[in-house]
Amino acid sequence: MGIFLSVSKILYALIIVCFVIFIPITKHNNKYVIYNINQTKITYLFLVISSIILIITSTNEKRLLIIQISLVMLILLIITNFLKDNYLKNIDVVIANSINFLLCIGIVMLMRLNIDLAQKQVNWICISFMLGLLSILIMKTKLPFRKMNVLYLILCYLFLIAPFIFGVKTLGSLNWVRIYGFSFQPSEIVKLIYVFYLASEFKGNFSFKKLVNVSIIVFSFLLILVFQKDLGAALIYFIAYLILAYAYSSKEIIMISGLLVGYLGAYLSSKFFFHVQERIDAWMNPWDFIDTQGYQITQSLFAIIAGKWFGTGLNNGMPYKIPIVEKDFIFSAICEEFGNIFSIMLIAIYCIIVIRGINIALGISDKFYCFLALGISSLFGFQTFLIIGGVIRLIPMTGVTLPFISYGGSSIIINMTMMMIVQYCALRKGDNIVENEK
Amino acid sequence: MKSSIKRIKIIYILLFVLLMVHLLKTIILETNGISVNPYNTRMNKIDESIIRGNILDKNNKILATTIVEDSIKIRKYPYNNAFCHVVGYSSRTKTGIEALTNKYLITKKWNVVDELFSKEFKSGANVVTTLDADLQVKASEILKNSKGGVIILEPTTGEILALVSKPDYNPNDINEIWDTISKDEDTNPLLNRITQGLYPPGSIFKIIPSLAMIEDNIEGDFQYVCSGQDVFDENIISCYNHNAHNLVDLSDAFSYSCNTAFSSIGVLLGGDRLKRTAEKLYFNKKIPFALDTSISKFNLDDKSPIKEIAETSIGQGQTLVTPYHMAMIVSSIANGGVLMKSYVVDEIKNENNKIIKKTIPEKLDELMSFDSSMKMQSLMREVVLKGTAKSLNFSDIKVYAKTGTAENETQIPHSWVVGFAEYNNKKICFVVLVENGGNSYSTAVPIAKKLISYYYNGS
Repeated sequence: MGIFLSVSKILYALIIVCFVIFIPITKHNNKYVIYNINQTKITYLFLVISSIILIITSTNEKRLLIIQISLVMLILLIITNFLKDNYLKNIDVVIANSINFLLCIGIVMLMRLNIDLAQKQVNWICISFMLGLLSILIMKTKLPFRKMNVLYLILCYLFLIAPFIFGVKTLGSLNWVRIYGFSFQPSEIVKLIYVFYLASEFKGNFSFKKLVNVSIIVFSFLLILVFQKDLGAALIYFIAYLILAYAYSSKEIIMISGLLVGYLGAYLSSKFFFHVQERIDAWMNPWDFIDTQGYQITQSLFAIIAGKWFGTGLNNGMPYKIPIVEKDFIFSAICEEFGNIFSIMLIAIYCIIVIRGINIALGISDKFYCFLALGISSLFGFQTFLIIGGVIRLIPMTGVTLPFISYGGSSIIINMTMMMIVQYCALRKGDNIVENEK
Repeated sequence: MKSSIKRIKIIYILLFVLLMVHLLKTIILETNGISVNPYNTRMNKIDESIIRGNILDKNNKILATTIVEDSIKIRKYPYNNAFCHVVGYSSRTKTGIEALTNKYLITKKWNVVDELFSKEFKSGANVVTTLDADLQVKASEILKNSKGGVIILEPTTGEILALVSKPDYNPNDINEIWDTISKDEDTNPLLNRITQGLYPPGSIFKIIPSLAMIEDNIEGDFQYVCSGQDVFDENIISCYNHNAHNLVDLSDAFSYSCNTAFSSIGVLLGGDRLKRTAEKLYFNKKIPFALDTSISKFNLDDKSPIKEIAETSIGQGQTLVTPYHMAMIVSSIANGGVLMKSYVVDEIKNENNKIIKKTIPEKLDELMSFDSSMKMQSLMREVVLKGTAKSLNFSDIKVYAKTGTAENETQIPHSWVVGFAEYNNKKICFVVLVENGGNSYSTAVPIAKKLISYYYNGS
């Protein structure tokens, strides 16, 4: 067993490095086929090795469930890869493979941490694939998405106000809604509609008046979020808006003044909101608060350092010392058990997804879809930056989830849907359809 | 628009690179001794697979070691009580050198093979201390059941040769006796009295006003007629046994430890002047040292009443010192005014005897000028030649000292002697304190004599 664990440590590091560098075996005409084959094989390999290790090192009751979940995941991957290879030829293959890989890493970690959550997560993944493909089909229809700005606006307000009516307070913020036993975060769902809204407003040429109008509306969104104490979401919405406004206006001054306003907002929120100040304290001096608000982040740091380069081995670390390890701090558990070569490459994978998303935006002349892809990539990228940054103590914790890896139904579904829409935009890449807009 | 988007792309790349760099930094630098933080329970797990390294004296005699009996690791201290404070123990909490060098004792240098293939029982690094086991044991034996302690160090390098605090306990039994000794408020065996015990200094404090006079260049002119006692603003200060020392200069006053002379010196100098010298000598200041130390207290200034100045000048009043602090003052006198940073860990070697870390003697501060230190030295030499420490006058070993009999809240004063000795170019600095030991010459000085003789002559 010892030898097997040691070998697995080397293998994991090797697997993810290969995934990121996607070593082409031969110089083939179509690079993407090679990337595709290598990356999908690596993903399967990862899933299989991990399941074996988990099966060996777990108790009997868990074993059956592990086999079950791994099989479901495997079948899911095979089906989606099949669909991807045969029906959606022009999507971004690297993004698709990366998402699959991330989902596998998440499922493996969840099986290790809490097998029940893993079961639920697999279900969410299935649903999210279906919804994602559905959204591509919907996008392919002739619906005038670019013109529905009013609809998007109404939906945004509806969902954002929902917590005030149906709301359930969790952990200090009022941003969860429970209907018929299902709880979800409206601010997560609204994220997507929000991007559609911004894209539909900014699709034309630059008009200062339009910028001001949209700014006012976005400001109202932010106010609602702040009221619900969902400051992490407010931050992400704000940054996404800054980026799209900058792209829309091409004026650096917007970005700079926006950042200053943002800094002011952050400063004010730290004065008005006690838990914000707590988080800042915990970030700056975790060792002084090691018993209280600094406990999470210090345990996270212990875990990261314990992982050294190759990790302690799957199922061999101490992740339960970190509170809420299945959601926010799952990254630290990955650092500990898979090692930091693995975790650094993991950051690279997220980076690649974001950059490729932005490249897709760059390749589209139709402004609506360009902004759609840009907005989604920015949201995705900034959220990832916030959560990983918080967990490694680069910045204070902000309570957002790690896409595709953290446990959470809303998170998986929304991120998958968003990425699928980016893939749809990829299908439109290079087309010269610029529809006439004012 | 496209160029803006390209810039955004670059910003995102930078953000993610920032993440990767910060993560790398965290792992490589491992700041704050994260891995040895007591809240990090992973340490216990790593601890388990390593045989804790040995702690050795300067001649490689084993002060602490781990032996494996039936797969259970037991920490053994061959010298029992003698090193219990300075070497410490390594049970659930860690103290002394065990705590100081914990990280080295339980780590092996990282290499790939070790991380991938964990072997049963690797061994941690070994710590070579500056301590001299024979000297320490001798000091511990001589002190017997007294309360107090001894510190002996080399003033030219800062190496600590012996550090004994009594009462002590047997660290081999730490788990069994923990409940008793941790709650024992009368004797408090866990306290390291040398570094953390605060005591009235008594006459050994007279070094401070003497130094002030020397620095102001007025010591040559000083003269006082001692009639055995004197009054300072309703406060009657008397010399020991009301002995009248008659006409004294500074050297006489220092050698015979004339209280009335020093009280008048104190009043002459004033509270602020005394405070200045005291604080230059690290009163009210933390002395940088690896083991925990308490800060000596000195509370005079020009606003203090005359009677307080009078009694403070002879080392009574509110002044409190640690024996360690006194050793620092004397060691700077012995070393031309330069205080070397004291240390107990000489070097750390891995299992292949390769040196991982070596302490280089380092100058900490200059407490007085070279000339002042020479003048202080001659004052202290007179104490041994004609004054209160004549029994320390060896034929070959040159000893310099100051005695002290410090009154305290009990009837029996504390017995102090501080000083240094040199012979054959080897210098040592010593402080002996016996709580409630009575007169300096009845307890502290004989102990110092035995130890000086033992160090240089082996007996």
